[in-house]
Amino acid sequence: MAERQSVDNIKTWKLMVRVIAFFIVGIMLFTWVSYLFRPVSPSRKNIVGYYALEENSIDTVFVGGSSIYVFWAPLMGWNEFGFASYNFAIDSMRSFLMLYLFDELLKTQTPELIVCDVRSFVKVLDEDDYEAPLRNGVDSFSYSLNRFRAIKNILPNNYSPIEYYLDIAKYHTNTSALTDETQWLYSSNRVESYNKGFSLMQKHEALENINYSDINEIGEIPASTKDNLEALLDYCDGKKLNVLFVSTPYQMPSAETKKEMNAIKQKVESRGYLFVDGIDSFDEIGLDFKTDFYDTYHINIYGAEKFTRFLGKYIAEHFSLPDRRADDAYQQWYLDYARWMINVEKTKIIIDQLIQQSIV
Amino acid sequence: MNILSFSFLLFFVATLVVYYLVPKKIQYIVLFVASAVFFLLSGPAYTAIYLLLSIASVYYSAKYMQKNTDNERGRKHALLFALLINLAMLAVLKYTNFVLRNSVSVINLFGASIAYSTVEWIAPIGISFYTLQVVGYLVDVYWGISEAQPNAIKVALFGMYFPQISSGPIGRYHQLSATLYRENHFSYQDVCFGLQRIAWGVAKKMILAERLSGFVNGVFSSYSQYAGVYIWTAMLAFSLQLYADFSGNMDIVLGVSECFGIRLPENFRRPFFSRSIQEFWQRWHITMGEWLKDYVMFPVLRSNCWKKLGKWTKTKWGRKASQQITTYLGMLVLWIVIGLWHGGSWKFLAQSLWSWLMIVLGQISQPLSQKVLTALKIDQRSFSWKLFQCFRTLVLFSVGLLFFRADSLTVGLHMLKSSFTNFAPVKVFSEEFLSLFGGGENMTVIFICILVLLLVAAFQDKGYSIRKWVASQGLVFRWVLYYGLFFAIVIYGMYGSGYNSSDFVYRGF
Repeated sequence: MAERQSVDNIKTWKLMVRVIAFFIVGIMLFTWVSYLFRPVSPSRKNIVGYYALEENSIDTVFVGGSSIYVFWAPLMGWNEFGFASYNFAIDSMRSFLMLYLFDELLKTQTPELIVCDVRSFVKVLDEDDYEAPLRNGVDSFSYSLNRFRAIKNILPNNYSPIEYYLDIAKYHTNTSALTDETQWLYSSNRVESYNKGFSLMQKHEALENINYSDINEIGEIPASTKDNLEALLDYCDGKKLNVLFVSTPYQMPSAETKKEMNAIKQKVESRGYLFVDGIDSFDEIGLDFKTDFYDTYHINIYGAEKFTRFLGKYIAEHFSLPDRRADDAYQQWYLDYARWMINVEKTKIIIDQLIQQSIV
Repeated sequence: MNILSFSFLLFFVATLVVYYLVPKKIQYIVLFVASAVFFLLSGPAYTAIYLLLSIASVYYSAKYMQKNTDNERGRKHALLFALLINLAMLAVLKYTNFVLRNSVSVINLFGASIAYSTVEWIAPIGISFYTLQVVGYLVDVYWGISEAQPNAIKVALFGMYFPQISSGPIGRYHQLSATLYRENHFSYQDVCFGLQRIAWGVAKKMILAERLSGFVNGVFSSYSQYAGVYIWTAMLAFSLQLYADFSGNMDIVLGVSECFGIRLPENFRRPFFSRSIQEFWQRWHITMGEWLKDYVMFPVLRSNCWKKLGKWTKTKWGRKASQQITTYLGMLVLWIVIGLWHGGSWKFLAQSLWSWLMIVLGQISQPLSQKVLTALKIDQRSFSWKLFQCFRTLVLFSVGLLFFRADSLTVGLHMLKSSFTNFAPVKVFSEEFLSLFGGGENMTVIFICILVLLLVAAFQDKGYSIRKWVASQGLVFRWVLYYGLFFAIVIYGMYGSGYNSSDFVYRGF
């Protein structure tokens, strides 16, 4: 009887182990399939490229939206200043995501400096406006507690939660992923980004010279982003992070926006952080609305070169970051830079043509 | 609460865990509480009053009948009283608008012009199913087949058991009570097999039924634009859709019950392998057919009225003809009830009458068909002949189903007429035809699903249990199959934003 009980106990244990193993393997497969079906967007490329970095190999992380990943060129920063930097940035960035981006980036890197782009804090939040920015972020993140918290805390009530927590419910109709090489490549959710999260855009638009750098009046931080900014500053204080806040230059829609940005600057500086306002420094950067932009919000490679040089000089003057150009561990960056420059030259040829057309 | 929803999954898992954790003696109470919660979450709370009234009337009537076995008159009154309450509720909630509509139409034929407005009463979920089930219990007690259940909660559970209440299968008390109230010990095999069956049902519904609905809805909603091969394809596609939908639903219901160690009766037995319409209806919605035969058709055939009819026809046309006439008329009553059970609409009656007609014609023509087949030297044991019979049965069934699916009897007749015009089979290769199916990929998935269903059905028809066969295979093979089925649902299931998966067809009855 006792022997029979013992045999039954062993069988029960074996069964339990098998069941647990089944669920673990199932969860792993489910995660992999979810990653396989996720769209490969510029946002996702930036995020998964970050995951693929060697741990603690980046000294400066630039975090924010497209207002960072077409502005700061990490490989140019490497070549001219020796900075090992990366753009941890997503498209259509909104202020509600910033804290979660910070949490995510700190999982695998301990940067000496975080450069935080605050342009998303002048974007007024609208409940209909949540899907794209939220998905650009959380549908690029690996499954984690941070991702779960981001969705839980951000998602409005009228959105279907299951399609966010389990994004395969949204993307499963993308069955072409099953035969797409790129999708398979990204199914690990860790794919090296040789250009360190920068996007080379082969676009150009000549804009009017509208610059509100002479607006010094302090307005009000938009009510919908104010709490997000406070929470971010508290977070940086709590973690004792070294953060530089930046507002990258663009053609602001109105003087009111500049006043709001002035208020953000005041708030940030009152908490003891440095703030670089790209609009105020527009002339110093040397940007030209006619040649350096591809739309009212973003600059092209010519603009990025000017901005990177400007901000790189600022960082070099105000922070002590190591020069990694002589570091053997960063030899691959030389090759990445060379590759990037080839693409830069190709892009410039196209943009030159577009500039010529816009002049004519 | 939709049994395909995430909330039902959480509800089911929670109930399962509690069911096996509580003392065995009170497991049925767990099921009762879960069923009550399910009912309240599935519709307006006030509809619970109908269910309570139904169960209370049945409980007390059965109790009375059990106590008063010597008082035949009293027993009959108790039976009729409870039957009246239950059937009246069903009739009023389901058929008021039908009666109103048709009464006004008849009156207006005589020159009146009466206007009316329809009532908007909401019937409780599953009223057509649970009414039959509890009425069956009541009649079984009256006939002495079952003893009255003294425990009110057990009676309530029998009437409202949550996996079954919305779409059946319709159970018999003496069979269901043995499994429903039993003290069930946790069985790994039961839970495994149950989950596999649930997954199979979900796959049928979400991958196949929903995919077919695109073409079906496209043709039926714009029926005046389509004719010939489009209508025939829509008819056949709807047969398949309904099978995948309804049998998929049953797989989920039976699978959920199996996880609790409860065995419900099967409702489908490979109906598309039927070689006649009569056989078809013995394999399709089995529990409803059997219930109506036992509680409607056979009592009608045994009634004094029918016996008199039998005597009269015997004197007129002889014994054989008399048997046929009384049987066919008895079947007619059965099929009229089936039509009415589906709802207050002439189209349901049209479908039923079509089925009746096909069965009767099949039986009448049997001797002549036999002679013809013998003269033509057709080997009735050959695979090709059996295949032809199956296809013929499918076509005949699909014609009847045309009325079931059409918006009304008039629309159904119009579509049937159109199906014989402008046939043009070459249109199956046209862009429009393909786009109605949702494109080449959709069609490929549909064909693969049909192939898999046929394979599984063929194995089952030979007596194999697919689940037992799979369970006897190696670990890696089994897991590949389980994960394969799961991910087939995740990837190819029709769900998600911008897509409203339709409710199970039979949940509306």
